[in-house]
Amino acid sequence: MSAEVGIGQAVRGGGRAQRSVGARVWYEASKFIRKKPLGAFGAVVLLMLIGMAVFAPIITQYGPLQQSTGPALAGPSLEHLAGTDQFGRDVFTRIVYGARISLFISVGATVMAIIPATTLGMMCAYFRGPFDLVFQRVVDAFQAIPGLILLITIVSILGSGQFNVVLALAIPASITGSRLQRAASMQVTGRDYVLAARSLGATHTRIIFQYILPNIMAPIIIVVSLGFGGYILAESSLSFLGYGVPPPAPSWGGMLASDGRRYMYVAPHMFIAPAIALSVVVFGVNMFGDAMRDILDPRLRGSG
Amino acid sequence: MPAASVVYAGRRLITNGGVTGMAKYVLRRLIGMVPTWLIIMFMVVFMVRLIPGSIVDLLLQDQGGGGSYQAGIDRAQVEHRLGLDQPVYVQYVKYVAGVAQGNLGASLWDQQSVVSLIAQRVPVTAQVALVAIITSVFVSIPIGVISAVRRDSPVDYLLRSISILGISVPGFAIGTAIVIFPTLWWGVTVSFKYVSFAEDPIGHLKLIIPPAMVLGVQLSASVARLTRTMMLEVLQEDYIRTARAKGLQEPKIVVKHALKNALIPVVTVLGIQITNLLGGSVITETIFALPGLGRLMVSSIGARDYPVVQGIVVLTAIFVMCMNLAVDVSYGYLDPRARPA
Amino acid sequence: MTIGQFGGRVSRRSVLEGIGVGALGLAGAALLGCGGTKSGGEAGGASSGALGVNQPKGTGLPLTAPVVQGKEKAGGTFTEHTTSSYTQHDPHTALATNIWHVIGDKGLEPDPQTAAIRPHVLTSWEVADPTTLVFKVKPGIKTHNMAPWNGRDFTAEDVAWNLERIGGLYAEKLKVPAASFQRASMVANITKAQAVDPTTVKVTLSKPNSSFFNGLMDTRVPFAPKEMDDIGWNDPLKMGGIGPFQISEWVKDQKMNYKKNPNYFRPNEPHFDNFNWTIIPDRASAVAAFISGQTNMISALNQLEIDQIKKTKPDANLYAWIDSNWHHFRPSVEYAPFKDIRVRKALQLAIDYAQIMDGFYGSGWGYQAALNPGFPDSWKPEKVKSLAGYNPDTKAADRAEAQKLLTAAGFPNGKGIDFQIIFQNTSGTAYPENCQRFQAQMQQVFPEMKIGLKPYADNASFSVPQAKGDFQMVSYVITAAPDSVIEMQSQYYTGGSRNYGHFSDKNLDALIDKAQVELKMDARNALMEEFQTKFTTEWVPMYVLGAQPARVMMQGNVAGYDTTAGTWYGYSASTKACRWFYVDK
Repeated sequence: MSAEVGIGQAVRGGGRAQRSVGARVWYEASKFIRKKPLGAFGAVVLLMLIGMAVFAPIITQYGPLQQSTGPALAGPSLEHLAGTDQFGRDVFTRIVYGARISLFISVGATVMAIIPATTLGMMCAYFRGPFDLVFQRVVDAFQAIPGLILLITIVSILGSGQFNVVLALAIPASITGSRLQRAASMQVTGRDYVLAARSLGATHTRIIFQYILPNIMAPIIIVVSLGFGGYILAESSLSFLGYGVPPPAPSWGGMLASDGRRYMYVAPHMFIAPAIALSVVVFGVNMFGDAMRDILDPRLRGSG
Repeated sequence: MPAASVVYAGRRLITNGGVTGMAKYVLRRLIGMVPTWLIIMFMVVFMVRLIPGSIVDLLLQDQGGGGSYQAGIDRAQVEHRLGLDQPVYVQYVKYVAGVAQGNLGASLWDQQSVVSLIAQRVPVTAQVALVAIITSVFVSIPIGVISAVRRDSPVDYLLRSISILGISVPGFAIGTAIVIFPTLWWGVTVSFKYVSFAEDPIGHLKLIIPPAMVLGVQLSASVARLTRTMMLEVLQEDYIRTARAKGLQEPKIVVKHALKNALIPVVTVLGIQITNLLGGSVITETIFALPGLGRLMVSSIGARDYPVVQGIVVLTAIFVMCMNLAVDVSYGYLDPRARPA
Repeated sequence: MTIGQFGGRVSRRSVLEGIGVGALGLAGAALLGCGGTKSGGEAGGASSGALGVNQPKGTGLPLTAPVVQGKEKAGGTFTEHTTSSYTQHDPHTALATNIWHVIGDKGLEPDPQTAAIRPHVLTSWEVADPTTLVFKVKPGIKTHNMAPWNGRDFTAEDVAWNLERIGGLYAEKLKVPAASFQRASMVANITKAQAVDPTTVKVTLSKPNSSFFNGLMDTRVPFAPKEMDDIGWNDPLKMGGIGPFQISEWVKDQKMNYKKNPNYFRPNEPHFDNFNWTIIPDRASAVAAFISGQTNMISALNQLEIDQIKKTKPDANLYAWIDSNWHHFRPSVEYAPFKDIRVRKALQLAIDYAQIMDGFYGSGWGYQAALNPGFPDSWKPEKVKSLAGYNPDTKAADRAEAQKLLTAAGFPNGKGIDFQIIFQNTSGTAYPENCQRFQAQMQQVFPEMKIGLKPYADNASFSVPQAKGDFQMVSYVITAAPDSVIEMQSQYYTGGSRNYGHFSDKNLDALIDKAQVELKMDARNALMEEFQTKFTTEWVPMYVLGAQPARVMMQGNVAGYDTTAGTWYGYSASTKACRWFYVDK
């Protein structure tokens, strides 16, 4: 499977090559840029997002919750690059700090979804039988309910809050996401080395985590990179319906959906600035995800 | 959504047994859906009741100073009247029994039958979804094909950027922009007064098209992406090489041979996207003030109108599952590869 | 011709207030007017002079009400947007409904600006003895011309049925919890209402109630024909009332359309033929609908939105006043620090009321302490503004005093005070903004105080902790009842139905008890004065931020609105649209 090629090259390559690690990375990177310029753009966006999140206090002089930094609802100026909101908070500052929330949501939901999804998928593929049969019906059930409705219901049950939003995004994704991991694991469980390990008396846990898991890394990485932007978007949709990250946290979704839309007639910058930030990041992440998919497994079909 | 490969896994189950074999297959699939329906009903019955703040809280909420609130007694009385005093599993069993007899219950607020409530709303949501799908097919498939044929060229980059941009902007932001910017600039905007097709066909279409565009843009992105991937794959297949070797012209190869085969999973994914369209309709119907299923769903969750929420979820799920089955079945006919001898 | 300017049009207006073909006329109004006094029991004062003035300033509150010039035009359709079609349609038990605001009609009508009682379905009201009230019903009121009523007369029997039903006396018979009769406090102490003859109703009370007549002015207690319990309150299309319009189309989440009730209007008076509600749930879209001319009015505007709309629609008219909704933070005395009056007082002194209200509205709101400034017996904004805590000019000194109080209470710089504010996180509402401004202010004044915000996505989930009092502080907006004692009773009485913070003080309870049975206006006013003084000094049960501004814009061709604008304007256009009409410009 191509995962062995894709990942293996990246991991083993450093040790085998004559060149230094730095040179090797640079070589790989420049190749990536040449072959996948859009993916490279995505990588840059992703790095900028991380940079914004990490260096927020250096990038901007204001605090994200600091009110009255200037006149309220003022348009963009040199002091306030993206203008101010109804509290006189600096919109640019809130966008910069909002990168933290976007990262928290997307990374948090990704991690919290992919671990159970992969575990369940591998277990279903490996054990088959009644567990698989029943669990697949649960997956069917989750897939048949419109995602946004499921999200609203889960957030309603959990109550609002940043972490609860992440949890709500992760729960359905961990169930439905297991389908793909199951399909990928299925192809692996029939392989010779798995059968050999089995006949040698390796424990189930050992087989699952040592033999199956490393060989389904490619689909995992693809799902992760393609799902990343989806979580940011889903949070903004939740915000639109009042279920997103609650104020005063500078979530892009909240800035756009509640404040931005409310003051759109008088301060369009409050709508446009977070819309651009959010769209550029989701665009970049998607481009990066596409490139990763092409590299790791061009034959694997993702419908996006 | 990595759905295509999942769909493939299912396809392979179809045996080449002719019509009776197909009937058996359909029957088996339908029976196989029963547990899923039971799980869906279980989820929805329990989940809506888990949401804090029940309909009883709403009914007994004080807004004007009635002042004679006797928490225990009143609560029990209202719960009993609404049938919410029974244990949830009893309510679940009763609900399943009702659904089995085709009875989806009535709204807890105004006793309107759930079926008639939903029947009023389905046409609006369905029309928007249909127009969205048609738009996206016309936009995305050419984009996907050109993008695949001109792989890794500037044209490919441009088209992909455009289509991915479509899923990078939140639908509510596009919808809001469509409503507000023309208002700000020219003092005109879309109509918010709903008219049915029978009353005013053109006025009706004017209402349907803007939300369909919003949903269509998002759908197009996914479909264009998949079309491109599928085309790339099909273009490498042996029969395409054979066709090329035979000296057929490239456009003919692309359209007649490759596209036909590449489109099958694309159509499948469109079927799967129906749940996403329903989710998106919640947002577009709010912004464009359309009386559709999505808004009914959200307002019913807000009003804790349990039977209505249950009814929408159950009917949607049945519809989605039947669509998937229909797609699978037709796929068996369309694609010889899915019918291993 | 000047429309709405009262000269020459008095008779029309009076007739519209009374119902049906001009039986009441000016004489009736003069006979029954009861001026600025609030209690109908004291009626008889000749104050109808107010009727001749376009903008009576009885309450001293500012009012912007431009008079529309143009040739009046009969007919046409008035369209307003609303966010939902509502789930309940029984006006006496519903949390929110609006159908009956249109198809029903009220017993008495407040002057929108002065809150003076005016006759409506009831043409006279008198206190026979402290626990017996006698009302005269206007003769000749017709029900809507639909089955089963077919335009029959609406009589004293119907009125008696309404009064008893509003009071919750049928709860048992209807198997509806008594608590569901949301407006029972409007007719508190009622034990019986009886039709003596077709135009006379006698009401028996368990004890005197000085608020009874004011209660009947509430938009939320419209009268319905007495067969409605048999018809049922679920299907709007089957509902028939006595109001200016009757239902013609009702589709959930889409439209609520009404056509005129021809019996309601006098011949040759201009009025709309249809009154339509288009349901637009999204605020941004609703504003777009007005600017693009799809609706005739838009309300709840902030100053910047008004400026923006004027750019695109220069002929649209702005009407503005201080209305009966008041914003507040309510502390719960279950949270130990808030039991201490020094802590409550410290926060009262530290809050910058103007910053919060200006922040959300830009301008146009009114200072409020204990009672909404629209009440005749309440302190007016100018007075409240001069008090410690409210006065923006003494903010620094007040905050220093607040620091001292907190230190004395054992919370220097707010250290040790740690609470959450619950609120409904609905986009476009004031709650989230008020909370964020309050939080920022307190953190600035008391750096060690910890304030968290706990939003709820919808009303249902919010209602649970609010009703249980399971919070340390709640941010909310309440619409004033049309009488100050009703208001005090539900908000501040021990165990009062909306006393969510569980405030309790036996002196306050005693004062409210006294005010409720006090039928002499002067004595009652003195009690109100005492209440307002102690509210701001000794009790401090709540932080009222201010009374919100109502700012409505109407398309330039709608006239008559100036005569209905004001604090007691009511819940929505529905109650007043019968007095408006189009003009040709």
